[in-house]
Amino acid sequence: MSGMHTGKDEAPALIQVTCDGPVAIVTLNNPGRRNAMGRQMRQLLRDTMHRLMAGDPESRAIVLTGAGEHFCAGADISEMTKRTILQSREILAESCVVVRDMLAGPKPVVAAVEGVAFGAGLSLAVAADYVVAASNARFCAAFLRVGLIPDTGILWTLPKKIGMSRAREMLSLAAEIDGTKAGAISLANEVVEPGTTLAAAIEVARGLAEHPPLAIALLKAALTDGATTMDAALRTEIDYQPVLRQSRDHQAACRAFVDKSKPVFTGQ
Amino acid sequence: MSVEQNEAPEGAGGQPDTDANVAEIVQVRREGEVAIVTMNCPSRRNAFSMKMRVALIDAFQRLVHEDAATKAIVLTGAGGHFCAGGDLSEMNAATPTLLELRERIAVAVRLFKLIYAGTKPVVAAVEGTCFGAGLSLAAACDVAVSSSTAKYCCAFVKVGLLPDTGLLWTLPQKIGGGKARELMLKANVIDAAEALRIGLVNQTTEPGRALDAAIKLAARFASFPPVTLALLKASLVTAGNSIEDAWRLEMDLNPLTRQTDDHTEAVAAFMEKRKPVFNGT
Repeated sequence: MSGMHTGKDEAPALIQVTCDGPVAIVTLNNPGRRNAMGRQMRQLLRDTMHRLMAGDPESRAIVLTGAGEHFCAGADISEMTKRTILQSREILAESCVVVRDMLAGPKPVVAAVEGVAFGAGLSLAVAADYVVAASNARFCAAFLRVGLIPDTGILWTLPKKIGMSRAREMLSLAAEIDGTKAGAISLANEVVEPGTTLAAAIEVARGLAEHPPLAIALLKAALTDGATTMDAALRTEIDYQPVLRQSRDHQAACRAFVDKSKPVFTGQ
Repeated sequence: MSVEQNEAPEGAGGQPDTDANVAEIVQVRREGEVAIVTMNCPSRRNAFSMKMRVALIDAFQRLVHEDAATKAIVLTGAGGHFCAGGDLSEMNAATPTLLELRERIAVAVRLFKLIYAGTKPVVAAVEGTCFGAGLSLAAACDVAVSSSTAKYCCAFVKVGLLPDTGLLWTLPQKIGGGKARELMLKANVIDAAEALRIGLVNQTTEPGRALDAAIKLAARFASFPPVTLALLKASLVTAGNSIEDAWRLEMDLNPLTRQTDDHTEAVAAFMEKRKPVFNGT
């Protein structure tokens, strides 16, 4: 894996990006504070995710993880001092951008969760397409404990991901669940031994990176915005599918199916 | 209509509607108030070709809208498989124009609406392969019964396509958005036990027994008042869009069902401790 720092010159960067073949690995890097998100990390994450989604043809899938033993403890409470309402709105808007890129951006995102995923850390994991959790990982929508409503998109993403009944339970009780339980309620797609989430997430991401990029991009867009009602979903397939049917990647896939060979996808 | 053998439209120009015509790509038969629609192209694992789509629309159009004797429908596949999905040999042919492709998908959407948003309950009976558009058809049904050896795969992305035939809507609705994203993005094969665990299917059976169990379930649907079933299916299409939609539907539709003869009969039968007899009014 080749290392590459982003953002500020001084090391260590709060967000690190490394590459493993077609997989870009984004690491929340402030292990001393369990990767709690202060404003600087939040802005770097926003910019990094957007650049990887929109301006990095080398990568076809993204892994999001935390440095050290934890994913992310949530917003940095030490920064939650006196803030005006307008300043708070700015901060929330920054989080919205990254969640939107993760949900509807063109590349799949796999979260590798060790240790805590609390508050906005949980929101980030939930915004991923696929979550690999350590069996002893700790998930908690801790927002209510500090008198806040759940944010960073989770009011929308959690009910969508696990169903309203379980989402209401998690959001309103602010109780912790472990990785095994997260797997049982489909919050985590895969539960693995502690310490092995990153390797497992990279493996999943490599598999996803083998799919035709345009189909993945349109699928993510469709699932985020294009299927909000039955009629919208049907309209989306009529609008999008003919474009994909004419794509070179689809035609390559059909030829490979007939030839029993492995197709090469270019995103065209 | 003859429900014994259902003519595929391509062959409808004067061919007799008899058992002698063995090329029926969709077969329809009846058990009591339950119609059984069988996709019948076993050599291609009942692939969802254009011919299959048109024949299915023809069958469902008649059963849903023109056949009062049918109260519930079972959809199944011949030869030990449900449906292997789109016919890749068709896709490999000369590429149609965008407008032609839109029409082809619109045909699949018409079929989807007859099943998902039509007036009669539909039960899928799944054996063997249930891939791609086959998965879409199973997910469009109100409930699905699966053989324990059936296999499911949302294969679309592997050939560079979006999940279609309603699946963008039905799969997240049925199994939750998290699992739906996983199955759609990974395009991995899951077995019947996993399909049951995540709510993709409602019941599993011994291999070869899915159809019998599905007919039993459909007969239970058929025993309920048809007007109420039709309104329930219509409600479920939009009730989940917002709580305002849900309230509006119950305020608009419940008074209608309260005024049906079948509701009055059901209440009377309950008081008299007898089995109600519904007449669909």
